[in-house]
Amino acid sequence: MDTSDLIPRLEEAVPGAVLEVRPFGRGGEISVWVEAKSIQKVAQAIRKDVDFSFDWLENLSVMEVDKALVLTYFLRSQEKGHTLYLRVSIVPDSPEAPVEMLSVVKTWPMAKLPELEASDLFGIRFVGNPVPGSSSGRFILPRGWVGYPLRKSYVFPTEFLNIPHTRPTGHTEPDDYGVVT
Amino acid sequence: MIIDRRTGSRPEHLRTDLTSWVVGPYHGALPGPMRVHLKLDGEVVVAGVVETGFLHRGLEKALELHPWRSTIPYMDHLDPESAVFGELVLCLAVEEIVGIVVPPRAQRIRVILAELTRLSCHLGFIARVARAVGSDTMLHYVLRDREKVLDLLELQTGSRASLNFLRFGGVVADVTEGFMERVHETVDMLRVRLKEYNDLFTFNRAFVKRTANVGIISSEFAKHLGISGPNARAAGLPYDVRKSYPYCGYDQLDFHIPLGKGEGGTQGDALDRFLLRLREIALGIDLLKQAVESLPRGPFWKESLMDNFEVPAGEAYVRVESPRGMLGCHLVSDGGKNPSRVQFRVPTLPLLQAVPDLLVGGRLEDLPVILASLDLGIAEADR
Repeated sequence: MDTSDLIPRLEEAVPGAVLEVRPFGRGGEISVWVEAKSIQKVAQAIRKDVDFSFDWLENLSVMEVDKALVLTYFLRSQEKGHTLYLRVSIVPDSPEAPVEMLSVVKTWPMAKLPELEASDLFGIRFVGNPVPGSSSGRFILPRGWVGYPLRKSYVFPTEFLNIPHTRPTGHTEPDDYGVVT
Repeated sequence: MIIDRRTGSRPEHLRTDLTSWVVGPYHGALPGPMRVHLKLDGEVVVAGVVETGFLHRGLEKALELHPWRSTIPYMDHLDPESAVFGELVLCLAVEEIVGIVVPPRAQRIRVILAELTRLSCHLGFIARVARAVGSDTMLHYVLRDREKVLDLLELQTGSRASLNFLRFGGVVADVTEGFMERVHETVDMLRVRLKEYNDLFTFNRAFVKRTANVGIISSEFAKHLGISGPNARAAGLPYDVRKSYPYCGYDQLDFHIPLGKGEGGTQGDALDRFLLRLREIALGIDLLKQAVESLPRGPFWKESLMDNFEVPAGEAYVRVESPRGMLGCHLVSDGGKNPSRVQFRVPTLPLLQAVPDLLVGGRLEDLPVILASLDLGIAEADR
């Protein structure tokens, strides 16, 4: 049974959730784009599907594409060896504003720390992630750090806790080959 | 009532209040900068919280700010102890996007470097477990042997730790004169040493008592949290990227994945994780012998990539089996001079999530043993 066989089942289990199916990279794999608000239902459906049972959220990756934050859930069925790349797009109100997303921790417990990381570095507040402070505090960055560093609009701070972050005058960046020009 | 998980009895008869302990971020019992908040009832841990981020260097952001060719030295710092795996996972991702076919000789040199690094990392693991149980003899024996492996890396690449030796499409240089003979000599020496490690540890009652039935990771628990690598294999899960998603010609090598058997205690305990590393050292010795004996002739680098190296728009997700588990890289290119996004799936993150569960119910004295037996890579978790 091929991963593409899952799509009609998914459309039946959560009507309207599947937006698009696109190829992923050169390896012949597919990515399934789903509605952000349906992610928890979709997660439950593919986790419980008897033929696929995607029980391992191998990786959660976030990237910014044209002002939208695209979340990719890399899934694997530990028993059957199938893989599936699930994708969701969310758009923050402004380039600097945090944005909300539903957590999938109830379906895949291993999502807890990757979600916290994404919340710190991309400003995504995962509703339903059980760790206290995940929505307001910091996980990987120091407390008091302002902004979400992996967003394209991020502006580097010039100081943090009175420690200057600027290069000394006369510093030159190395070129492509690592030779200082 | 608090029950000691190991002995099954109630350890403290004197009624006391719970004590709060904070260990770290810098402490001899920890594998790197991290902080563990503990609640103790006597000497029994009743709650634990792990705090990380002390080693965050903004590696993924740094990669977005550098041209493609300048990214490789940064990858050595993903996990400095197993530097070549960071380089390897990025090279494989770039090669998949561009569509580069790496020459077989270069692939085999990569395998040799990867397996040497795995040996070095596993020997480092044994040294850390030895320190956790207070065996200075073992610590010194193992570090002495690891030096020999690092000597080989130095002979081939010029560096002992941050190799900076892989390139998109191959490796920097062909094998150095005398390198193959030295690999043979070193792995033969290590095979003899394995017996010595067995005498010092595997058949040592004091060591077995400190590690058996401590920090048990069952196969269900490993699946529940997505734990991979030697820790999952010790729990009985037969998952290894080298078999499931072969890369660099691992499918041409003949090897079997060792699994934990629960000798001396329970399957998936700290002793099992230790014994599995010993078995993986033996496996590494076999793989190195095979790789060295069947090194193909031909170029070690795709020379056509010398000028105008460009990465077209596209993305790739690749996995390699690092000494700590499955290391993944999601790489996105928009066709520009720099990577658009580089994201890593690191094997230590699920282990950090598991730490509180493993500590609770155990005794404080087990904390260094449990943390050392998990082989946490704090540098890769914090990035």
